[in-house]
Amino acid sequence: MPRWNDVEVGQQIPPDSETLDQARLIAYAAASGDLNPLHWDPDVAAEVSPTGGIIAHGMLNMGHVSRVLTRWAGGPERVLSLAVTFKAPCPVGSTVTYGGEIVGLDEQARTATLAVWAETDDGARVVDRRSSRALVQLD
Amino acid sequence: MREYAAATGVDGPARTAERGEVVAPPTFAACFTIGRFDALFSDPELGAHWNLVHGSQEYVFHRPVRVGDALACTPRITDLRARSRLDVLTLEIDCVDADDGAPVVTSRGTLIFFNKE
Repeated sequence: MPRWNDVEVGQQIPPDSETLDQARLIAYAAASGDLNPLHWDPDVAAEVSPTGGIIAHGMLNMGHVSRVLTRWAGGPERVLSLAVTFKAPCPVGSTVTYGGEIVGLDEQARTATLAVWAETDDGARVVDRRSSRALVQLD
Repeated sequence: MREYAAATGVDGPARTAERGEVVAPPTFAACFTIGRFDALFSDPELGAHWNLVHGSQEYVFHRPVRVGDALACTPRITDLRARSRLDVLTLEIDCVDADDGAPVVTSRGTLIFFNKE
């Protein structure tokens, strides 16, 4: 886990990528209870989706952001807050990279503020780094 | 929680070394807050429908969420903006420990509903 003396502004956390195929979306729908047909029914998606096709749950992408953040932080109890803005839709089948960068440090509280993001291989800002932040407790 | 962890690629809910407790992945909070569409859709007056996307989401943890917690969650509409083609609903959900009322997690999310023309 990151120690106060080892971190600095501008430091990136190890990124990770996932390909969000239909099976992943269905597994997430079942596990989370978010059964919005936009994420599994192509006919509904054709009618209502911003892309005209099935898109991934915003919360599935936030879940992966949370996963890479938690791994870096050294445990879920170290994530004090997480706030994201969903900008671009994420079409089913997209390969998405999740990452973060330290943008602020509070010496007194021993916390780091990170910009976090999720971006597709096509450059779509699914979770926008400009308006997505995490607060992490350091050692 | 095991299913949620598998669906989001988490190796398994983490155990805090010192107390042997299982702590939930932070975004597991979706399962008992913003993801509870049944509660949102149960109010016919509100008129919520499935033609929606998630605009933003925030979680503030007052303490970690652990396996075995009983939480009382109170949803509150803090803003509703009606535009011509879409409505933006801001929903704040306060989750407290059901035993002692101590705050656990606050969820703030915006949902964007697209209206039929």
